[in-house]
Amino acid sequence: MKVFEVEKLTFSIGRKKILDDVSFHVKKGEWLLIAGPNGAGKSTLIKIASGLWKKESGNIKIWGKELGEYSSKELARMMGILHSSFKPLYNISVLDFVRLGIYAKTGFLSFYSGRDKKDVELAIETTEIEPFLDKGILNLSQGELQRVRIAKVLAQNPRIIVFDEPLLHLDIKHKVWVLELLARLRASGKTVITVIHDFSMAFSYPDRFLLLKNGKITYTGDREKQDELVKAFEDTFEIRLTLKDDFLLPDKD
Amino acid sequence: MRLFKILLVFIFFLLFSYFYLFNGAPSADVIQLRFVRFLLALFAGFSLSINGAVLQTITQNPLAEPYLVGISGGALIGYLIGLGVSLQSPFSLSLPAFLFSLVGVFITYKVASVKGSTRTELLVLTGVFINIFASSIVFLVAYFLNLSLDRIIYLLFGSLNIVIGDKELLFFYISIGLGFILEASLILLSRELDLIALGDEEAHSTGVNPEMVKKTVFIISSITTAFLVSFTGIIGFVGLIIPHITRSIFGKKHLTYLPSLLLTGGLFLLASDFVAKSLFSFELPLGSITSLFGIPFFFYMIMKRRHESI
Repeated sequence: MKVFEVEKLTFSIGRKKILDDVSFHVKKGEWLLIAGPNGAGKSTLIKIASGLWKKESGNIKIWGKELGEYSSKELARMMGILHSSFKPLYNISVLDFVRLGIYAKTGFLSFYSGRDKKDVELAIETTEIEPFLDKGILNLSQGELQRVRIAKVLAQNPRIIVFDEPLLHLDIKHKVWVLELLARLRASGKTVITVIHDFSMAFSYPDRFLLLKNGKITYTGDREKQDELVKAFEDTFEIRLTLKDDFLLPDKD
Repeated sequence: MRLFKILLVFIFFLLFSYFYLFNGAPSADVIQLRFVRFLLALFAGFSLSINGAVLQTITQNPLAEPYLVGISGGALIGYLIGLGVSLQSPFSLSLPAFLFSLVGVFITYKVASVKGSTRTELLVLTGVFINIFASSIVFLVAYFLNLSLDRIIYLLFGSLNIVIGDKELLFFYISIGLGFILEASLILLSRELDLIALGDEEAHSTGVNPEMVKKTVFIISSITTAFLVSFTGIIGFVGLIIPHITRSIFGKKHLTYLPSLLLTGGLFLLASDFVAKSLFSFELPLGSITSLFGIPFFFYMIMKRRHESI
């Protein structure tokens, strides 16, 4: 079952093509990793595929239906997105912040229902953020902030999880924590799409890979043909790599 | 502690309102005159502050307010064009004022927004230029239409000293009532605004359509500001000071913070107006009193932001 389907997606800013004829799909319960050098168009792809930016041409379908046919709330109930940048205007408490995650599930001006409360509690439990629920979101460490932001996404209880560079600015402990959490979420039946810069570390997790360079897809496929996959990574990033104990590392020789 | 502060603001508000209306054993006629002015002060305070508050949220910029983003300036230009084609009553002048306030805010927003949030320096600069443009037009129009100096000062610096004839009184009450309802409808967007304060991306991924909310806010604040400017002229900086002070007392959740602007904004305008009309034997322009507080506060905000960004 194709959960997410992108066909011939094109997007430009001015005359520069940021995305050029990009097509791929994600099946239910799969983890897709999107990687590529800086400026490859990864974040743009996430912004368009999530409906934040308008596409120029091409098709995006979620559960077989055009992206544009969903309302903002419907989209948020299906898809939980963690964007890479986060610039809040005010310093609100962590608890208030996480509670905002249930917005899409509630009606006009209605607030907490029992089920929403459970989603929020579960999200707090999963991300282990109880100790700093009363802190302000601007007073957290990077690792804490990322866990809090993930808690808000989980409170939405989405079936598709899209994380744009979730490991950015995190220490190694939190990087592993995020990857393990995503693995558990996928195991529970969620579909996961991630853009990850630090692919060395994340290499063993995803089911499929999508490599982008200058707005074009350079490779898409699973890990069955491992040599081909490593070769594609080498070509895309213009660096020699070796696969060692599930880590894809730069080759110094 | 917070509850105590809220109670204190509330008591102050009641005391001051009573004082404003009934000071010096006035006759029934005087009370009625004062009541019109009182309502206008309350509306001006609420309108300027709540518009400032929501503009700050949607532009992701704590320095936004109707005066600084060019809404007031645009409205004034429209008002003057209305005068030019010989409209007289503030009610009918509201219409061209509204149209031009939309133009003003559109220009400012387009010039100042870079990748979804507005650049402070561009926002303020464009707003200020629109205001200078508006002042120039005031002086030009003053020449051609023979406006009095008093009128010019009241337009540029604001005043609640208006005369509403008995025939127009009912119409005035209805308009002010509608104005209050329009502003209060912004409170219905509280949760959307809470989310937009976290950034457009965050709001969108949680299920809000930021563009829709922004358009709604721009239109509502333009209508209300245009109406206000047609009656009172430009009153600057209220929308900057009051939201900040109110947030520090009532918290940052829009659902509690936006309604409380009626108290704080109303109180501030009543107090400023009281100073303007009773400090000397003649009446001072209200906007010069609010700017006297507002501009030092503006510099304080800029300094604070500069420290934070380092």
